[in-house]
Amino acid sequence: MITRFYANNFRCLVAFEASFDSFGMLCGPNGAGKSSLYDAIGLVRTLSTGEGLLGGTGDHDIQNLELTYWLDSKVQEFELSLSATGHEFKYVIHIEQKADFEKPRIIYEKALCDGLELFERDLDGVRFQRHDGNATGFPLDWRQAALAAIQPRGSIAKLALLQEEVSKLLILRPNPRDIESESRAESVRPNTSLSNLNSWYRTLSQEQEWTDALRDTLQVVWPDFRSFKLVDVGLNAKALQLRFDSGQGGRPTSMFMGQLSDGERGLIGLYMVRAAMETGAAKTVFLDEPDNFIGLPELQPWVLSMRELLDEEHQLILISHHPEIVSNSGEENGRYLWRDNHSSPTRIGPLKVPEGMTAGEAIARGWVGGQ
Amino acid sequence: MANRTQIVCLCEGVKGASIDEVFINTLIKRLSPSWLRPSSGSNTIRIVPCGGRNALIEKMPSELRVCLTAGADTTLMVWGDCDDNCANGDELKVKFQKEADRNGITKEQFDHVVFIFAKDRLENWIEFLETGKTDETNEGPRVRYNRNAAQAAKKLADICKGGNPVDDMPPSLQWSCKNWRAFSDRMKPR
Repeated sequence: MITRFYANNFRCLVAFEASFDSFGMLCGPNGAGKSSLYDAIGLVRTLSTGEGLLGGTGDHDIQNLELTYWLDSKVQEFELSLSATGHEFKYVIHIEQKADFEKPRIIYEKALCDGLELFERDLDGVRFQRHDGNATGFPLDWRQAALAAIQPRGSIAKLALLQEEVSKLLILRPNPRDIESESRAESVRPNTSLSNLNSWYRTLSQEQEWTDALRDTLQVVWPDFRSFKLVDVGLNAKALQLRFDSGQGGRPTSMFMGQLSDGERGLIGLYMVRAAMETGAAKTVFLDEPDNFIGLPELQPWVLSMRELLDEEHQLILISHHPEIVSNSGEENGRYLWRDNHSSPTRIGPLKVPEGMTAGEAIARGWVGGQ
Repeated sequence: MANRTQIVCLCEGVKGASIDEVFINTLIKRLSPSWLRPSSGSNTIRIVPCGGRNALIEKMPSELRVCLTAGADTTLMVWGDCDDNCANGDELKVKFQKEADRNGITKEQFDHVVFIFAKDRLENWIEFLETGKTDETNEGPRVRYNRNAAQAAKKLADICKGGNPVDDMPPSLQWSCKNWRAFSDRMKPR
C-alpha cells in the first residue's frame, strides 16, 4: 500500500506531498493536477519495474521529462513510501534532463526498508552491502532504474517485497472505446486505458481462482451472463466472447466484446480489476474516473464490492467528478486538490463539506475550496 | 414501480462514518435471501448515508413513503446507533415513530420499516464477531479497514443463515437480528 507520495518539478506538482489510506477519493476542479498525480506515480512505477527506460522510443519508455514550466530546475524528484507485509519502504528517484535534445537520465536513486538502506545509486553506479557486510556495487545504465535491475538476495532480500509491491500497482484511466477487439499476445498487466483488456484477460484467465471471481461478480451484475470464451480469430489472434443465457432453455447467445456497449465493456474492465485484487494479481489500484460510461445503478455496487477487499495490503484510490462517488466517499475518505491559477502548483487538503449537504452538491455549487 | 432495488438502507454517515456501508452491503449480499432477487441485478441494495441521527430521523418518513409507493417488495431498512442518549433500540425506535406520526405515517406503514440499531457504531458487533466477546457499555475498537468489516458481516450472515442460537450476543445485535428475522418471515412466500 502506498502511504505517501512526493513529487517535485513534474508538470504542476511542485514540492507536492500526499498521504494515502487504504481507500481514498481525490476530487477537485479540472486542471487541479489530479491526473498529473497519477501520471507521476505511473512514471515512477514504469521506471521502477523496468517496464520502461528513460529516453527510449518503446511504448513504455519515457522520451522526455515534463518539467514544471515556471521552474528553472532540470531535475525531477519523486519519493514513494509503501507498507508491505509489515515493513515500511521508502523509494527515492531523481531524474534529470539538461536540455530537450539530451536524453533524460537517473541521477539518484535509493531504497530503504524500515529506515535501513537497501541500496543507493548515483551517476557512478549502484552500491549496496553484501551478505558478509562488505560494500559492493556495479555501474548501471543511467536510463535504467536500479530497483528493477538488482537481484534481491542476502542482505537486500527485502527488496523483493518492494519490487512486488510496485509490480502490483495499477494506474488506470479506463476508456472502453479504446479496448482492442482482439489480442495477439498475453499481457501481464493492463495498460492505462485498459485497451489491452483482451490480452490481460489471456494472462489472468490462466488462474482458475481469478476466472471464478470474475464470473461470480459479473453474474450478479448481469444475471444472464454465463461465461467467457477466447475465440481464435486469425493467426495468433484471439477475441474475447461472452455467453449469455437466452432464456427458456434456448441456445446461449454469444457476443464479442466489440458488440457490447461502452458501459458494458467498462464494467467488465472494472470487475476484472476487482477480481485481480481479490486474487492477489493487484494490490494497489489508482483509478482515474472509473465512472465514465458506467450506468448510475452500477456505481455503488462496484465501489462497495471493491472496498470490501481493502486492508493494509490492498488499496483503492479513485479520482472522480461523479456526485455518486464523491458524495458516498465523503469527508472521511475524500481529498480536495486545487490550484490558485494556471501558474501555481497543485495543493491538496481535506475535503470539507458544509453541514447538511452532500459533497457532490457542495462541489457543484462551488462551495468547496482549497484551504 | 420499482424495477430492481428491493432494499433501501438509510444509514447514519458519511460524516464520521457512523455506520459502515461496507458492513451493510456485504451482510445483505451474503444473506442473499431468495425473495431479494425476483428480478436480479447488482443494485438490489441501495445504501443512502444521511449524516447524523437527526437527519436520519427526519428523512425516514419521506423515504418510507417513496418505498411504499414504489411497490413490489421494496423495503426500507434504517441503520443507526443508540449512542449514550438511548438505552436501547426500542427507545430509539420511539423517536422514529414520533417523527413518522408527525408526518402522517400509519402504524401499519411504520411496521414495514426494518430497524437495525447498534449500541455505539458497529465496532462492538465487529469485535464480537471477530473475537466472540464484546462489552457494549464500552466503545469497541475502531475498525480501520473495510475488509475487517466485510469479514465480520460475512460471519454474521453465516450465523444468521445457520439459525443456531449464539451465546453472549450483544443486546443491540440480538434486537436487530430479531427485526431482520421478523422481516424475513414476512417476505417468505406463503
